[in-house]
Amino acid sequence: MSGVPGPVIEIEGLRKVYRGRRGARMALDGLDLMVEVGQVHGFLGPNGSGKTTTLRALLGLVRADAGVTRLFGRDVPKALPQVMPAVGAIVESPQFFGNFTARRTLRLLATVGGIRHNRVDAVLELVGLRDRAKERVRSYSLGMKQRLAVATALLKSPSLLILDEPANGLDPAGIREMRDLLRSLADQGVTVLLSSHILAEVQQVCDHVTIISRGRRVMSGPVVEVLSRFDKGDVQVRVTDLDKAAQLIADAGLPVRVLGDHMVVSDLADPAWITEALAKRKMYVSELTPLLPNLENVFLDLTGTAPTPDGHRQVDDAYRPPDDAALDILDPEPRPEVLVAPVDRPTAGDLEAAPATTAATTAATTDSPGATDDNTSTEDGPASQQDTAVPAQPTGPDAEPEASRTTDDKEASR
Amino acid sequence: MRLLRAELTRLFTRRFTKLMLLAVVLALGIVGAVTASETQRPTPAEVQRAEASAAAAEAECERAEPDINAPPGAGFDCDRITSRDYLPYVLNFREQMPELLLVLAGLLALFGYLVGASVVGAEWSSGGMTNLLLWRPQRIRLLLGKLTAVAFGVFAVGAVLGVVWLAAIWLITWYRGVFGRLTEGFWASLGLDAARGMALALCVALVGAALASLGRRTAAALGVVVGYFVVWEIGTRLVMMVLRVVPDRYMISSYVGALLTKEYQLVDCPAPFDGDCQVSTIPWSSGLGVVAGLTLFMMVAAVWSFRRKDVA
Repeated sequence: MSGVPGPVIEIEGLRKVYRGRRGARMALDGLDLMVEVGQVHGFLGPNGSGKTTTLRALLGLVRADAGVTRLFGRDVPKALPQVMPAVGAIVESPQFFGNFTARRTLRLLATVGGIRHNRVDAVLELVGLRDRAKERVRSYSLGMKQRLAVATALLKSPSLLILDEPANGLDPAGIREMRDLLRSLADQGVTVLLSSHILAEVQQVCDHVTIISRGRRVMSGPVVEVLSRFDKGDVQVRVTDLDKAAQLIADAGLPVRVLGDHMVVSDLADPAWITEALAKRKMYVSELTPLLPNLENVFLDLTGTAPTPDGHRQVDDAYRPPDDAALDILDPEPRPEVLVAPVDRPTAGDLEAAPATTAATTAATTDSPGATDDNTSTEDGPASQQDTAVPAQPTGPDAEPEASRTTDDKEASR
Repeated sequence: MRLLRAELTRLFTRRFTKLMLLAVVLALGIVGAVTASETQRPTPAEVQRAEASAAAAEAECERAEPDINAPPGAGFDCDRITSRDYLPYVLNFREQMPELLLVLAGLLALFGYLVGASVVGAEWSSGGMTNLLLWRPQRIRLLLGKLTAVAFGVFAVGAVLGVVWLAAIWLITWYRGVFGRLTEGFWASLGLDAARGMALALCVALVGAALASLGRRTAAALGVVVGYFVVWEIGTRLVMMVLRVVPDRYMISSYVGALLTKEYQLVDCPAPFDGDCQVSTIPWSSGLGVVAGLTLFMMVAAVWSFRRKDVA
């Protein structure tokens, strides 16, 4: 199966409506997803965004109302009997027959799948359950059940591994082992689709990511590129005369926020400019740390699910992308209306010569869910933290600093 | 075949199956033990005394004045007095083996229903069905595999228990009872009894499994049975009796009875009673038809539901 050219997973326009006594609920609303051979692909979304429904539809457990789903280039669920021998999957929380031992559980599945029983011991060893294999699953902890679930997925020696929250319930060592295992499988050419809420893990393990919200794709692409889209060039600076230094930098046209004993300077291409500019005025920098965006903050920004200080966010409050609004970084011609605008960051030379104009440029991204705001700021957490913003000199009518955009603004823009 | 093998392994590995099997064996053991303890082969002297007592009783019966107020045919038939009435209980293999086979058939049907419902219901509630679908994404084949395993398992248990039960009763008779005339006709009739009992157990097991699949839990199958008996077999029966409709014709239990006991008599007596009741019978073939039809209907419904509905 792995020799099949083209994407391993293709989902186009997937739509699923759950109908119940209390009416219909749209779980998937034209979702697209593409996973190429050899990728370790993170599949992210807030609770209720449709991740598990997507996986269930892909695996034939739920019937989609519309859309195309393909595995290894073959339409599923029609071709599932042919492709499933190459697919190992965990969907949602692991559930097993409590009175069976782990070994018996796996042996029964191996019998169904026509797999040699010596493979059972191999996967039990792999997931760390070798010494507990004769115990009833009922006595297992959640983490051990999760390991067993991973074992069932690995039993087939799959070319494609679909894992829904595989780290759920695992202890730190288990999470580490899971990460190593996934890396090892990826090195062996296994394609992995990983749905998880442990975003730090996803960032470490996955090379590609798709983020969805309310049944639609919000963003997709290589993790590095997705993160780079949100790199504001922030730098954390500690210096003796903080207020004076902050004003100096703000006068140069750079957004600055003073946060307690340090400040954060944004839109800076070359941090050396700070040391140079401050040193000229006898202010010496004791710390200069680039603040890189992480997947968690990007996720919260994109899905509009960052905690708010004024209430409890509900699951249906997540960002709902408009039609055709997904940002696919792999797309050769990204849709301009949703692109995160490129940031013209000042270099040391630029800043000496003229004030920065970057705030205006960044603020032009207002319609993008990726537009950041301080309430969901990347490095400092939610807006409950009291920031002291040092305003940059206004440079034009569009120069609303991005820091001034609030969650309410974002809500209104929807 | 791999699926069937796995399902059979799963069926017989389950603790509930083992417990139910143990319960059936225990129940049969109790029936056998009670039978063995009560039966007593009479001595020639006891037979002689019994024959004398029966003859005396019969003579006294014939001398008695007939009750002129009794409706025609309602009087006691003195020829029904036999020496056996004056003997201690003795197991007669020819006469009682069919009845004892009914006991086994009833227990096997109960075993089949509970195990069939449990094996499918637990698979749904434990998430096993999802796991299986990830390995064998062919819903109809998967469910039919489970139903086949249930039927095969019940048949195997029934066959083994049938042989053991026959041997046990034979031994009890050998030591403490009488065999009677065991003709070829008797064995053929006993074989048919066993076949009908087995058919009932298989159908009941499949209905249990199908109901559990429809309701996606074991309790659904149990609830349906309890609900059926309370609402239909008791409640509706009472209503029909008030409306002077013979309820038995509309009760599944009548057809089950016909299947097990060769025929089921429907007695329709007028009110007020004038001594003239209309009697009709449900033959075992009709019983088999109704039970098999119901089973087929449930299986089709379960397959249809499994094919259409999402696996949560």
